[in-house]
Amino acid sequence: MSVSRASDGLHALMQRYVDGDRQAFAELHDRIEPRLRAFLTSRFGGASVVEDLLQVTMLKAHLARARFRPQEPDDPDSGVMAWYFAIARNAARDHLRRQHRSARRFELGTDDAMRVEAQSTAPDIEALLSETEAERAIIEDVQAAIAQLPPTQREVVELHKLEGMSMAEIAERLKIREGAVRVRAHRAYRALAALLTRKPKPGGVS
Amino acid sequence: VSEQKVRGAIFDDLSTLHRERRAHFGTSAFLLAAIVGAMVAGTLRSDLLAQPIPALVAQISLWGLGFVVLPAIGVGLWFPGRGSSIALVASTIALVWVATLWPAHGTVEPAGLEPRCLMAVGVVGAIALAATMLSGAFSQCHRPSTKRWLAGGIATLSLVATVWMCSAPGVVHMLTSHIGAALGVALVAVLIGSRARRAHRHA
Repeated sequence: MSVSRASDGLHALMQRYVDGDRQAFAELHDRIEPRLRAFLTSRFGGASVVEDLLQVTMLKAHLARARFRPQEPDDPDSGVMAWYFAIARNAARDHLRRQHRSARRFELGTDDAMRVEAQSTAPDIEALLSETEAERAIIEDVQAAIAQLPPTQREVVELHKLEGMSMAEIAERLKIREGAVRVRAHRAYRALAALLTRKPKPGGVS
Repeated sequence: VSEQKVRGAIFDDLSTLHRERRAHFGTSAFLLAAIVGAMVAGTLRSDLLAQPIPALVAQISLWGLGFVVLPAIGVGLWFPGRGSSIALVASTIALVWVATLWPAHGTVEPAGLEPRCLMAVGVVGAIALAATMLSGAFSQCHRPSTKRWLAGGIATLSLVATVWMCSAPGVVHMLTSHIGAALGVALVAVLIGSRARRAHRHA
């Protein structure tokens, strides 16, 4: 249950959406969608590709919403737009890469299937939905494995991989030597590799 | 078509989250209601129904606010706008006044600070706070206001439970032993809620 508030800023809507408000999602979608569409149209032009990339962006943003942090504290509404634009840019880049790979395969290969693939390079929403499900399962596995690490190692992994800090920055933050950070990171990643390879994958395929 | 499909998938995901929260926190609220209800029923004030009707209605409304409305906002089951939030807080304050100070107005002051009432507020507050902590309610939402709504619910609950157990009149008694103690419970709940959220973020 929620109340429609036309005066709410994007950041307020985003916060409520992240907390599970369906109405806030609908309002945010309606306000962000035209700007993202214009952005993608200026780069691709083709209506069907733009439409698919727009939906890919919305879906990826939904799956990543818990990690949303406004990058511009002085103007949080712009931070929301910047976050969505970053996801749209990544989706567009992935699409171009796929297109490039397909075109390359077409040039090299002779198989008819490759021709078909090269002619249809737009992202498939059905495939993406199942792909994102698989991605979510992987994220959950990795999170569970990180949770099993000792606190000192977990801290380093989180700062390094999740917050994108360098070893030197982590050393400064934790007030320890950089070498010690590297040792902890090495041990943590070795432990993570062991934990994740030990875990049987769904369907019994290792 | 794909827009409808994606929008529908996101709506379904949010609806599932909503259902899961409702089931999870509904059970917690039910258990808490059983415990607090048993406590209050055992020591119910003899003149409960002899109180002025508006005071009784306000007290029943506070039960609803403390058990359902304020926690529902805290755990992300209801998202009121700014205006509704302000109206809700103002209504709660008005209801507290009608439920406690209004019937006490003009009565002779037999008691000021009463340790038994302080203890009652503290015990009910501690039980509600423990239930809130154990259910994971503090870390359910990202908004900073979460802990304040939950703390408000806990404080309201401890206040109205004590009002139904204590028949001592007097404005000073109400202000110190009931409302003052409930505000203390709210403050403790906010502090513990902040710690719980920080711990959850670092976990």
